[in-house]
Amino acid sequence: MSILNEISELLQAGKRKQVAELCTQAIEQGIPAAEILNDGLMPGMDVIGEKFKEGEVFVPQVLIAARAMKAGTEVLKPYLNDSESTAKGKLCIGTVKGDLHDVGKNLVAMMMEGKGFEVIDLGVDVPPEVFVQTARDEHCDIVCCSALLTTTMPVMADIVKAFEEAGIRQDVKIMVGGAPVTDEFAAKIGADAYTPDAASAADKAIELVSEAN
Amino acid sequence: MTKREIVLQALSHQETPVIPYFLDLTDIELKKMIDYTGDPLYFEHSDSYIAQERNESFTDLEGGKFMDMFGVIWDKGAQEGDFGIVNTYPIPEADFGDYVFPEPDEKLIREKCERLVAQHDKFTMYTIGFSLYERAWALHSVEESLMDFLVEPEFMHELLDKIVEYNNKVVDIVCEYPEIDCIFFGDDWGQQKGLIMGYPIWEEFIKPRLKIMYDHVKSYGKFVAQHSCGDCSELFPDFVELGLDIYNTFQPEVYDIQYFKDTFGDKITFFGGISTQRCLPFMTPDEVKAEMHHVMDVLSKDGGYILAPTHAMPADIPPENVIAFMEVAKNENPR
Repeated sequence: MSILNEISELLQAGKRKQVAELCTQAIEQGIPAAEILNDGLMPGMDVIGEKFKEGEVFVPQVLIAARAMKAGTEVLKPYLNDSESTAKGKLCIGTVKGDLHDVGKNLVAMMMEGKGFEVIDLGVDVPPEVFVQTARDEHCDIVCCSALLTTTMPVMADIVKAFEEAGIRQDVKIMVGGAPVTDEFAAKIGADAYTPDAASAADKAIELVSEAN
Repeated sequence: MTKREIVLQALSHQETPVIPYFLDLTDIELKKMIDYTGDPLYFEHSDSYIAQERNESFTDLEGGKFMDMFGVIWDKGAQEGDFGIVNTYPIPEADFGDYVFPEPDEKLIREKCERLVAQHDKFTMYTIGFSLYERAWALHSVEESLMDFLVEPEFMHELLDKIVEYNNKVVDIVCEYPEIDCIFFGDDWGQQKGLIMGYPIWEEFIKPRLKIMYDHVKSYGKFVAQHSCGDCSELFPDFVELGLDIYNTFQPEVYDIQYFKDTFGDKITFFGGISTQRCLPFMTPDEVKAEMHHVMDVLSKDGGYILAPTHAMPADIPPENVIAFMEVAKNENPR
């Protein structure tokens, strides 16, 4: 098995120490960092994402794989320069104002990183203006909003409006998710996409940025 | 018949003259109803068939922070209802360090039991919320706990064993009271679709401990109720095997309620069923009533149903819909 395949396999098993060690070895063998990321770490995360969508693995397995991915990218970071940047795009993500639930939001952030997005995590209880300001200042391609409660879901409509009022609605894609959110709701408030789980969200994000380009 | 007798009849899976019901409101929504109706005893006047007391207790640390009896510090700032978010995890690593598990506060538990005894014309439930997985994550964080099921399984087994030990001591005190009918465990395992931890982990870590807790309650001749939000559909065969009497919340947007009634309804009583996610906040009062009658028709056949919202009603529910809920519960029951 090639070292990159091995990295992918170990990532899928959530072996963070071994993933970090093998990433170091791969660098020492002269494999470019971008190649280790693109052909080792990210394919491993893809497999986990697919298995998660299919119900073959669950949140715990995704979490340990994402932690292993992080351990690997930490090793690679110093060797990845901007011109080699493999970022698929940039996004900000947060749980909307009034809502403190972050497990789903964190999973989406991990899956997005696994797909090669640069992710700005705004945390929980995020007001619409912070989404707008971050998207504007950081030139985000996508804004991801999470809500678990019916009481906080309407904030997503406020976020879409805030982007319209700021005159930058056309510059970003707005994705929404969380237990009470549906396709119909996303359409009603004028969001660009709803997805039912973290892995589908990452697939959708790839689709949205490729449409935009 | 007393309210309690009607609930007992429903639990024995016999048709009841009326469907027993329970009004459950968050504090903010209750205040809204009191303002709307001008009735300071709006909740008491709901004449619910169930009385509940919660085991959890909190010390106010000021500044919106509260410490529960396990030493978990909660921030109850920005979010309505529930507990807020954990500010400080007492066991952040997979190592107990110098953490000492609490002993149940017997005096406080007995005060709560006495309040239930005073309402013994109703079906009385003593609620141990955060009863297993949720207590584990409150002590050790959601993400660490989920990962440690896989990477530090021995630690997680020990953590859960300590929690069971605590729960069983609480049950020993509560079950001394003949007037208390039921222990109600709360532990959210469900997502909108499927289990957050997945079935294999649930089966290894949670199920054997439910058996210990349920058997312990049953040894006192009491009923066992279990709450989990979300989709626990794959657990129902296990619930039957474990001898669970009552399942709450039973969200109709998650379950095919007819299928679950037909398949498990002779063993398990459904408690909930009126959606706080799709129905109560969004429908007109007439639509709420029609939806309630549909759910009641399906679930109350041969007893086995306690009418209730799927969650304490949050503040986005219009007062008119709470009133519609109560009109059906009180006056259109049976229709």
